[in-house]
Amino acid sequence: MSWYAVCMIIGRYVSKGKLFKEDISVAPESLFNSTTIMLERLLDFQAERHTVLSTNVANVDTPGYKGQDLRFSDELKRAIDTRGTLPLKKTHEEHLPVALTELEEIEHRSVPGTDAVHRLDGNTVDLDKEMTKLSENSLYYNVTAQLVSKKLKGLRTAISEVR
Amino acid sequence: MDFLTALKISSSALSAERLRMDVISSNLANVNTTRTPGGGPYRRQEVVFASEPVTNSFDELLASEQEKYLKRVEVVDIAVDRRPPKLVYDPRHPDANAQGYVGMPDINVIEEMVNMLSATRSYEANVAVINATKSMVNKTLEIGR
Repeated sequence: MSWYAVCMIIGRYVSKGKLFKEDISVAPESLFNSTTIMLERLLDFQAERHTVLSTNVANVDTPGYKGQDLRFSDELKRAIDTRGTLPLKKTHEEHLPVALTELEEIEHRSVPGTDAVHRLDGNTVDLDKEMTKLSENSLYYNVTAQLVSKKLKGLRTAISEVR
Repeated sequence: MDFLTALKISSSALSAERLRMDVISSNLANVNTTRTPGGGPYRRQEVVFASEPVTNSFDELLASEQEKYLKRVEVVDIAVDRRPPKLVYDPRHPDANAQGYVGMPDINVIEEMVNMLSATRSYEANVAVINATKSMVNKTLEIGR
């Protein structure tokens, strides 16, 4: 699933006030609406992933170190069933099925790298792959930050131009 | 804050790789050294890297579950190689034994050069990460400008 698609899906659920408990009070039409919140969470995730990937690069020569990654879209993909809806987590047997779930729980999870050990020291970090992932993530972060910036700029225009 | 953690991790790797480089240059410089303060020829040394949790005592109190898998690099030991000295026949050498053999350090120059290249590349990779972090921080500061 592409990053853009992930944005769209999260955006859809954020706008219904389902993604984050503390944001339920935020009405979709208020000053800082769902898009801002969604972008905020994306920035959080990408910053966190950057830290994890730098850990991998830093430990490229540490014997026995196992590479890690954060997967956002993969976890999301697993949570979405074939009809394109998110199953709700049931806390009781007789709960009725509802289309949404708490997305909070499926992000920011550390996933051990899937790469097989191909080095004698038991380290699983592949420097080329890590650097690629890192620069990709960095680009995504810059894109997201740019989007937040533009969003705020739009707000500012709306505030200052309507007189 | 996240980016400071990323910088801390990358800089720990930089200093570890730098120390590794120091040890490699020491090995290369002493490739023919036959006298040491401890007696006998120079013994080859090697750094031992280990990943340590990135927290300090105050951070530990605040550390969330997510931060527990973040590891910095630390040089835990500079190990002395157990390879025995290489015996070279040179009766005129001041440190030659009764049979005319001198104990020379068993240092393979090619091995050291390969290690040196590896250390350089790892160092460069971490510098690249630090630059990426810096660009991300700058981008963050531009939000709302």
